[in-house]
Amino acid sequence: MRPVKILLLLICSLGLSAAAPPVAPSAAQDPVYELSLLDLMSIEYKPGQKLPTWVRALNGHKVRVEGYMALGTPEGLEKFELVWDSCGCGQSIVNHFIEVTLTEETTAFNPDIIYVEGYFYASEVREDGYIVSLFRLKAPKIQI
Amino acid sequence: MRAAALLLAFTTTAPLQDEGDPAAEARRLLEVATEGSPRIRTQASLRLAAMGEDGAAVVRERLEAESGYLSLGPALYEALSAFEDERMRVALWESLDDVMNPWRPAGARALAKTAKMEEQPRFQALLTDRISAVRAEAVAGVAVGDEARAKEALRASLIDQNGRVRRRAATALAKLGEHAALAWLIEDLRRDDSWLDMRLGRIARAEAAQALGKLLGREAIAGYSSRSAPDSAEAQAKIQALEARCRELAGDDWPVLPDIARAPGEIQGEVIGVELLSCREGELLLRWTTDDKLVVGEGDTDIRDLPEGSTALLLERAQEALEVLGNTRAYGDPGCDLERHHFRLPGSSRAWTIQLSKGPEAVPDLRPAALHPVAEAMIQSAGAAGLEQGWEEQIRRTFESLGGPLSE
Repeated sequence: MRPVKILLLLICSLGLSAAAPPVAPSAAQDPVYELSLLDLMSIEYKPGQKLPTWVRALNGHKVRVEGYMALGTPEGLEKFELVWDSCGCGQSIVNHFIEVTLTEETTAFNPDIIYVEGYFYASEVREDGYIVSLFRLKAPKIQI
Repeated sequence: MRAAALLLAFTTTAPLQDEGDPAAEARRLLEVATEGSPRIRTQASLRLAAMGEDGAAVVRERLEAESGYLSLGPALYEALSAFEDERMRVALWESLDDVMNPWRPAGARALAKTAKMEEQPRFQALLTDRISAVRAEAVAGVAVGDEARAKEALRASLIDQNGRVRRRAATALAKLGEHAALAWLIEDLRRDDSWLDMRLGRIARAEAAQALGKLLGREAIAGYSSRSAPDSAEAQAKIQALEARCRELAGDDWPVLPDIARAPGEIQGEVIGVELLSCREGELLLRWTTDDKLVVGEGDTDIRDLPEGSTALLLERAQEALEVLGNTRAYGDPGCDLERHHFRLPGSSRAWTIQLSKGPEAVPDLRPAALHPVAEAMIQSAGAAGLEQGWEEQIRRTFESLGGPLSE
């Protein structure tokens, strides 16, 4: 069985509602799974504990996420935080944002709803004993 | 208990760095909690709380200073409920009475997570707060107290203007055994409405599905995806099955939903919208349609007729403003006071958003002058919609509390 099919079966068998990501494949080779920040935020996350199976199943896969650029995102950076609401009030909670790295453009603050599509990574990244990111996404550019 | 578990989790993953001098360590953590990267402030705040009296002492010092809780920043402010020191909790409750407090939703959330039985009346009072996020957080606190009183209070929140408040109230009631409230969550699975580009229906579906999964068990929502349109065959079949399960639980009590809780229909021709989210004045959501209707709030229950040409005039003002503003889309500094204008200009499928944001301090000239005629026209237009006395003044006050005074 192809790995993608295994992933789909795994995700579907978990019976997740908003968390069930299978969506139509993209024109590119890799299938794209639609991911919701609301689902990531609903995780009862505790540092050091394993992330839910459905999140780990998406690790390294291509996803599409909708959200807002965090308020105060400076211009000209490769990275920004994608948050689920326009006020960006959840930046201090690590499972409430995705750190997006842009590979083909830099940031220019946009208050509209935006979409990013790219490879998703989920794991704890620590600096000086603190967890600084949990979810990351590498995307060529922002989609409007 | 939950707070204690969270504290334990954080403290076990990162030992204190200055164990020999707890006071120095507390000061270091305080600095990270208030001045560090936003990403780690919550973690530092919880570690400070886990230090016990040493941590509490440095926070109390800040609380007693002139700027009080505002000097803590949002992360440490929200973490006050994790300290064992009862004075922190008192400070949190007092801060909720401060109309200038920019973090009232966070304060209500912090208190509700660790709610005490005797606090139920205070949480109940928050159910009618002017800010929907505060009302939504208060639900959990009300549910902790006396069951009969909780049920009575939460039933009233089932007709709240805000969808999230209704969902939280329905979830809390269902947890308390009032299964008729599940009807609200089932109805939310049928929502597919939007507010200009904001897909509120999809958010409602996702949150309702999460709540149902917790209430009925994961297996009950297996195969349901909130990303599927609710009128798709697969979604309809799943919603019907879920409804049958919920009706079974509710017995003969399955209710007829009030209009406010019904899945809204599509608003045709919405071209202009403004979100006014003010810590002090509360929230207003207004939309104008091409056929001269004013839509108040999130859904479709409050639609007013406007004089012919009202929306065209607004669009004209908007176009004039956008020509001046160019590509500048955001003004001010991050904060939860927001004034967001949405313009869907002719020929465009998506709205163009202009955002003003600020913290608790007044910023008199936050709104660029080019937007003043738009705001004035919105106030006059909405004022002409035949709503209750004081309505126009309320809109003006809310605008001015956000972007600053409007020009004469």
